[in-house]
Amino acid sequence: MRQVWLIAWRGFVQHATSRAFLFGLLLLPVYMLIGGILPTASTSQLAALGGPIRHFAVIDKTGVMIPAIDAALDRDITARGLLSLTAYAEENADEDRLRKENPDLARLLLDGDIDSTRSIDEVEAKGGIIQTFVELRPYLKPNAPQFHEPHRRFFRIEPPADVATADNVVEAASPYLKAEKLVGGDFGPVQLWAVLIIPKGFIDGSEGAEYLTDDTDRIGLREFLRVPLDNELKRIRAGAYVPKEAIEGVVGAAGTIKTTDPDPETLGALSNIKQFTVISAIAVYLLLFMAVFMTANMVVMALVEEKSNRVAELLLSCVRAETLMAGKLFTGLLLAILLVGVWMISAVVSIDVLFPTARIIVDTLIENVSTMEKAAQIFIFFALAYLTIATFFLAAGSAATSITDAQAIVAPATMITLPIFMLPIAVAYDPAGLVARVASYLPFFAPFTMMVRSLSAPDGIDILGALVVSLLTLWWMVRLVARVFRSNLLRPDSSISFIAFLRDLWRPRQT
Amino acid sequence: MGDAVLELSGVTKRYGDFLAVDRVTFTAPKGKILGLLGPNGAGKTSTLRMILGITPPTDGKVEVFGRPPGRSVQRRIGYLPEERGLYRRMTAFDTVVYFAKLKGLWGGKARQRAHDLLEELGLGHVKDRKIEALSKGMAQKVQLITAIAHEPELVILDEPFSGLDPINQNELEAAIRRLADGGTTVLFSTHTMSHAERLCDRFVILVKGRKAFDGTLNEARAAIPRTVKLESPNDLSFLRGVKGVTNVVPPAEGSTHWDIILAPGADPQAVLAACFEHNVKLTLFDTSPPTLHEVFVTLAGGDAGDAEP
Repeated sequence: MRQVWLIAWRGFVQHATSRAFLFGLLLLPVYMLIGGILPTASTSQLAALGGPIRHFAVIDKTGVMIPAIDAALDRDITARGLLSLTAYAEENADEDRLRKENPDLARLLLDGDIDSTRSIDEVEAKGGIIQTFVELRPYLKPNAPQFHEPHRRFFRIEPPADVATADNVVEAASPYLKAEKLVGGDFGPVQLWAVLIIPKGFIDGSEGAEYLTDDTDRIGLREFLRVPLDNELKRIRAGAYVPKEAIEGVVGAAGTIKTTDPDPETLGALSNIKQFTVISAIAVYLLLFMAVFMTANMVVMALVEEKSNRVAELLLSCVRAETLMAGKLFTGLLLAILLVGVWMISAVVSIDVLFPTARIIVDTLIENVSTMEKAAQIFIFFALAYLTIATFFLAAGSAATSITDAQAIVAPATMITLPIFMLPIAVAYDPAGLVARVASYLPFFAPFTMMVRSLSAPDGIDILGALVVSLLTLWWMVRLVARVFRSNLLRPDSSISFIAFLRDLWRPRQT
Repeated sequence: MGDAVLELSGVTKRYGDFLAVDRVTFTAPKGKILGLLGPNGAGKTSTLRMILGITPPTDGKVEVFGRPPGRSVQRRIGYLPEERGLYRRMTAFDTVVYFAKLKGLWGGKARQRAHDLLEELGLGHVKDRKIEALSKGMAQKVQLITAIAHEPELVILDEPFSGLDPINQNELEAAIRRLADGGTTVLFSTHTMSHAERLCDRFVILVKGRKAFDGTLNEARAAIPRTVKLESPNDLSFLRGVKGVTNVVPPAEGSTHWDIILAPGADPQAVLAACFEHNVKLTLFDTSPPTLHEVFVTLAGGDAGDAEP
């Protein structure tokens, strides 16, 4: 093991300090930085602009709540616009001139309480955010960037007819909420995020409202709807001359909103965890893919060079071919860990600094790998996945006797390995399904599959099985590669074709 | 196995249809210098690789320190390959330390040995230079140091003198002698006979993969017919009739001496007496024993190829 480490560390130091590697290592973070800086909007504006758009429907059996909800939606866009315009004014307005020439506007945008009802009323009285911006425009500094009004977060749409008239609304709404069916929006079909059912008895407090959604983790819309429901309920009860205590009791009445997932057993298409799992799996795969190709190519080319300049013969007089191959593999793994580590830290920092609204991805990632056991599990399967795929590349390098040969073999070999990368992406959609479980026991596929499954909670037997299969596959591959290496070592001048390489893998030539 | 460090028994090596080594048998006694001689393509490197366990024999048995080549004996062997290769961007010092560690030395000891050996072979002043910045002779010395840094009991040197200038060749010869004086067994291959003649206690001569000779220099000389060299303006063909003379070879083109080949045990003085009887004027009468090169050429015949005196 000491010899493996010596070989691995020497290779790691050699490559990690080379300009080519450092260039590749730092280029991706630079791309991330450039990608984050390109949009000209300020961070505060991004925060205001960001966030997903939700379409929801209301089945209002009281017949009086929808106008209150619509009014709240309108005020919401004004409130968010005011937040954005305030941040914009602080950065881009000529404060002295604004205060001197338009003190009312200065008070509203520079000194006012942006969350207060009064401020929002004032903006609405001016005709909305755009009119307020028009009033601000003469006081902007030269070359101030364009102001972007925030988009609307929540859109109320009419419920589908089959849902509105259904006896069992939960069942009828289920396919819409799981995105199996779309509903008509103002600009074409959209996904229905939630349905709010307000029963007749909601007014007198005999029945509670019900909020249907496929994702019970993200409740921003529900909490938004709680406020107009509360306010309207208070207003109605005040008009009905109910006792003061009953009106105060309305505060938090929407707390009685029952939240229902129509299909809690499965993760719907819009599920928080599901989205994260798929996104993170693909992101990790892209990083892994790049890391594998970059590092494996470097190690393969170094191996070919060692063969051509005969250092390999000297090494083989010191260590067994298997030891040499294992050392090369760990060189690649160390480089890959460095690459992926730097890239991931860059990604997290970029998201944190440049895309604060996307922090949920990072938060969910941390939440999903919160325990040491889980982190170790993911790391072990990542390492096994890398080593498994790298052995294949190393076999190509072992067969080649020149850089040209290596390139001719590595390119088609890469295509052969693609399915090993691709299948686990499918697994991400259903980490506990039959395909995922079977793939966990398949040589070559096992570590990749289990790396993705580790983000959920796979059965212990599957983890153990995948570990055993992965280790045996790796052990067999290292022995095979060592044989290929030995069989080609003494042929420094003969070139090898891709077909001959495959034949060597199957039955290495006599040494 | 006795005191033999190395033993080959009927070792054969084939690469497909090509027979590289054919039933070779020899031993290397402990603490001696054994020369493996032969022209290019004689099977020397293949034999050395089998001894090192880099490649297995097709047939026969190789034993090093009484065991098959491999992990158990790897650390007791030092190897200098024929085609030199080192990491070009590593310093001389780091190179020696790296290979010494691979051979089992720990950090402090490996660094100490690297320092001492680089100084001993006159490379102390370039120890922090990268290999690519060293001259060929210096790089070759570094490679020799990597082969002996871990104090092996058996050192295998494949064509160690090739590419070296005469001064470096002398230094290398001295280093090899020091190794043997210290009790290390040295096996080296060469096709330059003068080095082998000066250094080796024993020789194995390979020709076309087969062993043509195995023994000491004196045994090698005795293995071929004794030759008397004569220079004379007269025709010496009459010497064919002298008792004990088996052949008379006239001067070849560009040469001035006759080679008189004697039967084993024949007395050269009989040739001298016959010359006197025939009133032949002699300008040279040389009964010196044959050189190793002559032995080699005789044994290898037309296959002596590029062997150098």
